[in-house]
Amino acid sequence: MNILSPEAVTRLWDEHSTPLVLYARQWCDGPEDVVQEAFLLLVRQVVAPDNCVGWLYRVVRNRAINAARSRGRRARRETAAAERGEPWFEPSEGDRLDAAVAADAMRHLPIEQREAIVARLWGGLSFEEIAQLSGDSLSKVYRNYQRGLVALRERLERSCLTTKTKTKT
Amino acid sequence: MFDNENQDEDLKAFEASLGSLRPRADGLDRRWRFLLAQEAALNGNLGDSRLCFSITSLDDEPVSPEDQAETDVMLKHNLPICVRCGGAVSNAHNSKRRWAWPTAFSGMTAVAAALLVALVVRSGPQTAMTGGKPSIAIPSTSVAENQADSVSWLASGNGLLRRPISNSPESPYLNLRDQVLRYGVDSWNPPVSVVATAKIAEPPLSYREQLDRLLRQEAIHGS
Repeated sequence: MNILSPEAVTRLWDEHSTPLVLYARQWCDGPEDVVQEAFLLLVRQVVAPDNCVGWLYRVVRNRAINAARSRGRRARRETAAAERGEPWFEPSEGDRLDAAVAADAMRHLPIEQREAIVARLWGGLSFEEIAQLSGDSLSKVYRNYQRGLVALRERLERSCLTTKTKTKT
Repeated sequence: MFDNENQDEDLKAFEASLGSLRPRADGLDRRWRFLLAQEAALNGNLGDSRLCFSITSLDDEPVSPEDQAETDVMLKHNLPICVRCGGAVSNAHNSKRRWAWPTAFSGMTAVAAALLVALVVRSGPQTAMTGGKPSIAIPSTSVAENQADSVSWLASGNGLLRRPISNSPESPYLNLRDQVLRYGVDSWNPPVSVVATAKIAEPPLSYREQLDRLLRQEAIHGS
């Protein structure tokens, strides 16, 4: 019987909690709760899953979608709060990309592309794992990832141009 | 071809710069959630394979050497740690929890048994079984008297009965009933008192009529 040790849980938390929060944020407004509940669920497992990271991403995905559905049912007025958007990334220092602009650009991507990008870039999942998560084919996931990156880059370039034009005027 | 390679390189560079952004997760409360997890584990959800977390290892606050040593001992011997006080969960605490349900079950069983005994022993309506048929005590009313009269009249042979009532230990009413069922209602000649009772059946008198009747009787007795 494969039992999850406390050290393993702590390591998983340290490495994957923040990417999981970003991943859950693609669907719901309270991603921290979703991630914490997923870890609680993991700790309560008598037998540890074979792929703990994939298991966590699947649980977070399901719970985030459920949370988004329940909130959507509850009130449409909260969409304004969702569009307001909390910062997705920590402020970038000296990076080429502005965190706020990047997050804003990502918000405009379709959910499939966002999911693939977040799970791949920050979650470190393979395309096969992402395909298992989303239930799509491997080629579709790869296509979503590539198209999402291209669209994101174009949007960021456009926003940079707009900013420069505004600065000049 | 060259453009495609350039595009790929640009995309990889963009991918790298995008991946350098660090996700933000201010709302995560690790310590609280792990305490909850530990509590769930201590409550027996995990059975023998329950996890035992060190509170101090997840806490950013400095820990005294005594607490750390105690925690180390508990972790070394796989002793559960109380999530409220941080100490070892004593055997007494466990034994209390272990005996709670059996005690409650025994108490409820005793109460149920006592109620059952009280139900059996309590005095109920008196019912005597005679010859397989219940004989119910009939209160002495005028109807019963009339029935007794009719039965005694039948028993005396004055009626149209073709055969006498047997001397069975059953009640007169049952004998009369059997008789009527066997020979029909016409075979039963009601006694005079019963006929009289049936004939007397008149509409009830009003209050004034009764008063007049009483006054008349008073006048007759007075005269």
